[in-house]
Amino acid sequence: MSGDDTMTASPRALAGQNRIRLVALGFSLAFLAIAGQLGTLTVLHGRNGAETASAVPETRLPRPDIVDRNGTIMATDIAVASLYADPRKVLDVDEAVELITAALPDVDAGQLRAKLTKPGSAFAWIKRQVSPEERDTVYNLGIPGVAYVNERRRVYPLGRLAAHAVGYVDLDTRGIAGIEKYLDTDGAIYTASLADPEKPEMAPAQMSMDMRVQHALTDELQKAITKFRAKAGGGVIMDSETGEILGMVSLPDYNPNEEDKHLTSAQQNRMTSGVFELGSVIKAITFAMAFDYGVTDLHGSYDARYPLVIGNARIDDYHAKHKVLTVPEIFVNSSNIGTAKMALAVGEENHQAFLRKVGLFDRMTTEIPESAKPLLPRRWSKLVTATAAFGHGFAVQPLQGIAVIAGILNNGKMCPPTFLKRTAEECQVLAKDIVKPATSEKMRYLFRLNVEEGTAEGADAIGYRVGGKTGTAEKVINGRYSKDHRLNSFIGAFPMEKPKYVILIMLDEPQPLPETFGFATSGWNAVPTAGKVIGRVAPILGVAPQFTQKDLEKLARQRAKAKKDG
Amino acid sequence: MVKLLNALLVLAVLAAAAFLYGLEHRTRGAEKAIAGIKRDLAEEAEATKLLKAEWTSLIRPDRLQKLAETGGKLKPAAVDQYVSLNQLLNRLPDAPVRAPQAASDDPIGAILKDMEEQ
Repeated sequence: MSGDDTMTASPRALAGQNRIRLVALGFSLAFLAIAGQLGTLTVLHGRNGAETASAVPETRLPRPDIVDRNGTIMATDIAVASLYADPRKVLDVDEAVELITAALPDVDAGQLRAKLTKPGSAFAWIKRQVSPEERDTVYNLGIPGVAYVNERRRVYPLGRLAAHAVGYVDLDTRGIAGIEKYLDTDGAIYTASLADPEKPEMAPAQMSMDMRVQHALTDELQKAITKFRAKAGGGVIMDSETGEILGMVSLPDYNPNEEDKHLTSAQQNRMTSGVFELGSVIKAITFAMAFDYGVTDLHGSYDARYPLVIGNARIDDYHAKHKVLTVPEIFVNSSNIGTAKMALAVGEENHQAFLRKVGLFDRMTTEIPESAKPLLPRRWSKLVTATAAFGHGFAVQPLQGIAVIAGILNNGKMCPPTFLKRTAEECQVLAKDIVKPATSEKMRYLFRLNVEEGTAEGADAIGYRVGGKTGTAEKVINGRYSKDHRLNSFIGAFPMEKPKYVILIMLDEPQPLPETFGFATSGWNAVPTAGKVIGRVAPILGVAPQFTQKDLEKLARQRAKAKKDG
Repeated sequence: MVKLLNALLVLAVLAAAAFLYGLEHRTRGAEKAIAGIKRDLAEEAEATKLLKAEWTSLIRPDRLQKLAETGGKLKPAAVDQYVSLNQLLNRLPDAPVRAPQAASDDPIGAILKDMEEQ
């Protein structure tokens, strides 16, 4: 039957078959085109699409934690959420305000209502940086239009401790001050080196500071400021062999966790971002210079019977002895006349060259971005050399002062100070020879002598072989030196046979007390404070006490006195 | 013959489809599990970080100092209390302060009781 049909309809059927072939060809082409396009999109360009998709949720590198030399966390990131609302989508504002303020009691109802009823507004923060629990509570209220974004927040678990060195970040976790700023700016290469491509977490940035040392320093300094009613104070403890700063404090300080800090100039870090006339502490540098140029030695002597007159200026002594003083006597009595004569013997040119060599003429930079330029006399003359010899007329960062003294005591090898962990070997490469080892040895003798029987006796933490030099600088008030406004300082080191640890204590305008017999010079306040700090930090730093017979007697006397006082 | 072949092919297609579907289902399940574990890991890492920060703020030296000062019997160590290890032998008290209680079945309890009595 069918055969008949085809036979009879042959010409029409053939025409139909041709048409079918045409249609089939058309479809095949269309499918081929689709298959081709599919192939290009998935096989050839497929990977690109996948990459962009995965790159979207990824954000910039996380901030590394900051830890101290023992691994104690000083700054870390924690996950927080920020709650926001789209006011257009909030259906019942009254109910929303009621529910949210019930869940978050510190959100102000009036302010929230104002934010949610503001016409035309499409976005309003409800509360930024809430804990995961608070986030879940609010989110589970199921208020339409309320949502959250996950953020990171920088916290400083130790609070005020070492705030000036660590610094802080803004709300968008960009470093604003201290090491935090260094990680984002000058230290960006260092920060990048902390990232390990095989791990999602970054290695922490390890500082040179020791939080136990930092606390002992802060605590004793705060007690001294309260006791002597000083305006402010500061302190540094440094490792002379590596240049590492183990502790640095400037009081008053601030809490980096507070959002609105409103720092005043009193809260700045006076150890690096302020310059001060360090006074008699500078004499130690003059002595080292005189020994190094060979103009005198420990057996030399200078006539300090009469004030030194240069032009119409007179240089006098605070504790005038009116006799010929030997070099060690000049040091332990802190004689201005003697020190000025030593500097004059070295000469103006050499004096300047030496101060330039040790770096006191330049701004000292460390990782911490806050640093001040030294204030130097405009013209250098004979008088300037004489006064600069005992620290008058030029002002430097206190950290600069301690770095030079550390260099002089460390066999003349000065390591640039650092706030990041460093080894003694690394320091060998960076160190600068500023004085001869023989000079260093003489200076160590003088420092120890000064604590044994000189102005710095109060710093003698028994058993730890402390050495040091005091400084009482009169502050310049209204253009002249004031007798009543003093900046007291002490730079010391221990153990003196190999002074690894160098300490600086500074008190701004300490007041005389009845128990200091009305005196307010450094020996009565800054020096005993340093002694207390050393007594606390030496065991932490692993310095073993050694006692001479004299030390044991002194210890017994102290015990008896303490017992009597109750 | 052809019919049989067709039937076999259809069965093969069905079997292959079932196998593929099962494979894909398992893969998706595994992927989901991996994502879940990754999320848990991230959450745990986050929680660890938070706990570490909390712990650090609890062992803040100023807090510990305050606790030690108000805690009663604690005093700062005096300088002559630091001795080197080889000197330690000379510093031992003549007789043991507490008799060892090893024989008792609750040695720690015995020590505590001993301390209370003193």
